[in-house]
Amino acid sequence: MTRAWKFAINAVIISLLGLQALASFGGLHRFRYWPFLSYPMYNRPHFKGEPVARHSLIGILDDGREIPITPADLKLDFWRYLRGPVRAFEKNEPHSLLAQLQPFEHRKRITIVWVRLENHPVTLVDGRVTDLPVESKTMALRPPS
Amino acid sequence: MKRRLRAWDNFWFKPAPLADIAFFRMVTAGGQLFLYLFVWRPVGREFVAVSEIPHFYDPLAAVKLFLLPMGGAWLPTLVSVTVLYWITVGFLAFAAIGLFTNVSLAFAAAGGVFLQAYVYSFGDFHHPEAIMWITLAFLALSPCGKVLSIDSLRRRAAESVRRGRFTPVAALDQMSPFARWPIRLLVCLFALIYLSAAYYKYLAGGHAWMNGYTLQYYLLQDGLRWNTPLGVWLAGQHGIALISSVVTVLFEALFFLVVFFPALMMIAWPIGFAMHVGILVLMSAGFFEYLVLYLAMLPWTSFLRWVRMRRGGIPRGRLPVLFDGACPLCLRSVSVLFAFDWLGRLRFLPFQEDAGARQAAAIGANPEDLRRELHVIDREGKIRKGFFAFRAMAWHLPLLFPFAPLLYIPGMSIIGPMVYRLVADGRRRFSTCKTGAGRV
Repeated sequence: MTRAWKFAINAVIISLLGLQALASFGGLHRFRYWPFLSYPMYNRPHFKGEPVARHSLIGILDDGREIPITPADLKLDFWRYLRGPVRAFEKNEPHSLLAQLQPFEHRKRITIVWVRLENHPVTLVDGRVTDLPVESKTMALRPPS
Repeated sequence: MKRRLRAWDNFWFKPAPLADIAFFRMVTAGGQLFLYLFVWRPVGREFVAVSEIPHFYDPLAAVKLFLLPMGGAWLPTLVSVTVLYWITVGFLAFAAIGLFTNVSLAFAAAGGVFLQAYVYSFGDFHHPEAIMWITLAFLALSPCGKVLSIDSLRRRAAESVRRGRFTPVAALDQMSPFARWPIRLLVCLFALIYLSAAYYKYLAGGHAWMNGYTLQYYLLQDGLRWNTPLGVWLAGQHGIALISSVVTVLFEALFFLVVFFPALMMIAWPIGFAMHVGILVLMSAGFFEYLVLYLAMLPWTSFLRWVRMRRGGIPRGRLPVLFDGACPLCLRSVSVLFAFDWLGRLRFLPFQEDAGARQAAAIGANPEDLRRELHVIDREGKIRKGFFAFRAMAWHLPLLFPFAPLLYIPGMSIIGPMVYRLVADGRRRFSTCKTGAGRV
């Protein structure tokens, strides 16, 4: 019993270590095989004076009004907001962005024609947080009616 | 080759105290239960949030595996995940107290993996929970319920009754070749995770991550994002950021040495724990599971053995507990009390045996009294009986210690003995014990 159990435990140990080792160094997809993950978070180096981006989305309606589109409006948490609509905008994917905004449009009974991505960057100057000029880009979501 | 195999076997299967793995189980399952109930609390929040974005659903491999009978891509309903959550909570609670330990752990781990993978199938994932669920899963294969568990209590009590004799075997002193591997495996997994973090930092920019500005950048980003003023303040301190980033990368890159030189844990543990607390406080990134696992890795058994040696190891220093060794009910009760006596503060003596008879004669207790109630002789030499004996013992049993003051609430001196009597009489009717005396 002990020998057979030891053999089984050895197999478990080797399998788990093997899977985690594979995941750790990029041998598996970075999240599809959760809980076996790689850990590259916050790995990019940054340098003196580099601006920290702070994104927000603004919707421009067919009547010209502008409304902010927050994570709460889209019923998303912060991360899904960044990885969803913000990323779709940055990758210039209006169809994907529209699909993500449509539930919000239906709830609010509005039609968004243009979307503006604003960046309110900050940086550190002599250890103090300093605002930098706002950057913005606009993308057509659908032709105006 | 043989030498290597022996070294491998020694590394994983050198006999270790079963209490090590039992404390490990209590802290991990109990900690995860706490996180489930008071930190994550997905019912009414996360589950509802993801149910409102079905267009994001893209099931992870773990979800597909569990849903294979339903075709793999089925979207679980809000009700089904809520029910599964509460079932998992139940199994975690059972695992923490050691009731049907291994089965509970297996089901808790399966439920936890499924629920977390389900939430992460909606376009977002995070890292803290993965290692906890892997750990709970492999812990289910260990003898973590052999001691310090309800299972072991039941087993011990039944055995005492079957033998008709109370045989004390201290939980802290029982060894097993299978008590070591789970904690070692966790350390190895931590080593791989930290190495992964260091590897990706190096891959992205060589040594540049340690320039201080990188950590300042992330502190500022998360400090503003999650509104943590301390993080924003620290972002402006280049010197501290520089030192912290060097320590972080060295820690991540060198943690694996703990696998080969376990004594290094004395250095690695405080650095790792402080690092995760720092990440939580400054960047609002809650690696709570890591903190729980760090606490689980503490040498609880060695600590309790040390306390036992210092304070209660000398037999004369222990409180004598006189009981009826011929009564199955008393044997069961004493077995339960003994299981809680982690510090070895009590000395259980059946009054029918020599040592017990001598002690009984010394305090002038007659057999009739001893059959009726449990007797304890306290530090001042006073004889405490029944409820009062239990109250005296509660101060010496770590798990009951926090509740001991409650037994001194005004009125307890009247209610306590009544309840004691009631329970003893009730049990007498259903047991083979003639007196129902030693019921505690």
